[in-house]
Amino acid sequence: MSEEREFRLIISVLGWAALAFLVFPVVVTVLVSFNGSFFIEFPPSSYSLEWYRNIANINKIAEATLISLMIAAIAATLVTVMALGTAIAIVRHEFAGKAALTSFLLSPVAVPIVAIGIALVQFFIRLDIAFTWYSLVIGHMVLVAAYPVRTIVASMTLYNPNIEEAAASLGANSWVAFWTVTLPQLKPGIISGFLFAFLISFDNYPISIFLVRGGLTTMPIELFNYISQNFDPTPAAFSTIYILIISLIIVFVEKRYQVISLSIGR
Amino acid sequence: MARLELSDLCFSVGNLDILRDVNLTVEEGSCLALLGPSGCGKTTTLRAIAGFLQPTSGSITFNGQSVVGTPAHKRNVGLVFQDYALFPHMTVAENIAYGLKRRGVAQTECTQRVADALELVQLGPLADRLPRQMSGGQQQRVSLARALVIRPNVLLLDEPLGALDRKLRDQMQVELKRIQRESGITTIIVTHDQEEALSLSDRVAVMFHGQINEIGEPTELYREPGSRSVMEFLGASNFLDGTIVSGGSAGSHVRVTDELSIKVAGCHTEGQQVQLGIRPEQFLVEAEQRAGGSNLIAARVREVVYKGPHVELHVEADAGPRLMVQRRIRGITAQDTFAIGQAVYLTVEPDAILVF
Repeated sequence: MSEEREFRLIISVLGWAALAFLVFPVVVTVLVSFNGSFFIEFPPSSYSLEWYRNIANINKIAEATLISLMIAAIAATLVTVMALGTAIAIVRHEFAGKAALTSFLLSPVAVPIVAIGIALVQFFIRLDIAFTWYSLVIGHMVLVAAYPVRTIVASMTLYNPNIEEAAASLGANSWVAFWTVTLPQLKPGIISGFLFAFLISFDNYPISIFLVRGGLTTMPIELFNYISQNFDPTPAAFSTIYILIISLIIVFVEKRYQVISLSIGR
Repeated sequence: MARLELSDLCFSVGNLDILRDVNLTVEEGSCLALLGPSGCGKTTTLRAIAGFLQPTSGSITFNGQSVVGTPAHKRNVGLVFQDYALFPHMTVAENIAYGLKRRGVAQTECTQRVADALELVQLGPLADRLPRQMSGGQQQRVSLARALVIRPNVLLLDEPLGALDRKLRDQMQVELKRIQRESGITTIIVTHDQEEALSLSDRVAVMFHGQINEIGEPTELYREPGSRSVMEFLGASNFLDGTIVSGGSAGSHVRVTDELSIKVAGCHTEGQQVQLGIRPEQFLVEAEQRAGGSNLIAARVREVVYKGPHVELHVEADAGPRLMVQRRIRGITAQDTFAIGQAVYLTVEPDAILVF
């Protein structure tokens, strides 16, 4: 019995330690953003909202954030649609080179992101589309493609393919069956895959740094530029807003579709 | 509703023949059980009828009209899957209405027909539940209602009771029989469970290795199977090899071993090698030898298996062969229990023995 208690104690200590480890940087960021002084200090000796007002002084921050949002939205949408087809092919059909395709699709997770960035920029120069919107979107698609494939494959293996045959026997042709039965079943995988892709694209730095020049810029790049030249807590204020919005989105999506639990735990 | 006919249906994958010349007729409104061990091709037959696979050759007709080439969604076939295959994101009522919506049935009529279907399967109050909030038996009934509400030409049930526990299965058997009779829809039940096949259907088709081995009414098939394999598959049985030593119109004698000769009904050719099939419940078991019994076999009890309504005795005849016999238990204090090693006397009537 006491062994049992000891075991539980160790497990809960480890659990709380892990949680603290993850939460600590967030807490520091949030506290620092309300710092009263010009220098980052922890814990802050006085508090103010000055750094929130100062966000506007980050070079091109509004424009860069908008570009990042649009790139992330387009890349995540395209990649999710492609992932849907890919996942169906991988789970349902046997074809030559299936194993190779599967590992190829998941390779961006295994290859260093910087290496992908270097490769992409050389490739785009060859194609003569380097440093354009297109190259940025395509580059981000390469970066995030693996995530929706994974989540959609996960939700496909969870559901019973017989329901499509049931729909057919009830008079639904392949398209109707897909829309009314298959797609609703894959919704958690599609939404969580889209969300992963969107978030990873939105705050990506190492790929973007190779693909932007001149007027084309993204939020993480401008934020990083600011940090490299200033040492005030403005980026912490920006990050706090960012963390708040993302957390709200994740909480909402999880409440509505229970999607995060789908992508973890398997 | 339709009369269903399969003729010379073949299905092969590569050079593997899964169905070989399957011929089957199900009369309008009747219920046929397709019975066989797993891998015998019964589910393949069902899938061919539903339109999920294209037969290599042969024909499938509903009321004389060929449906080969008609896609599944245009065949108007009701299907009940072993795992029910309910749409998890739809309520019970939405599940049932799905087929009606695909047919463009008007809203008011749709509502009425869904209500009728729910009543038929006695699930009226649960219309707004989601499938995962229901028990297996209830899901089974939703799946049945969903298949019936479209008024299908044929209703196909794939191992319909396979996923239910014993008690629920017995209840659903009675229920299923009532629903099939009331709806009057031509039905095929695929099952590997002989008891399910015998109790649910008007006729049973026994299938082995992609071929229909024998078709008949349940009683006829159980009592007088045409072959050893059908008898073996439909319930427990004993088989003895022997030779006809004398045949006549009053019956024939079969020598099983030097010390054991068994009298069977019917006239058989002398010298013929035969196999005798005897159902375990056909033996009369007694602890003491009684005069006058036909086919008396002295034996010793080797194993006693208590089964509730009856007791199963594994005995070894003094003359050699091992037999399995069943003895019904009567009364609450069953005095006539048997002990291992005890001597018993079996008798069996000549007309209860099948000769193959």
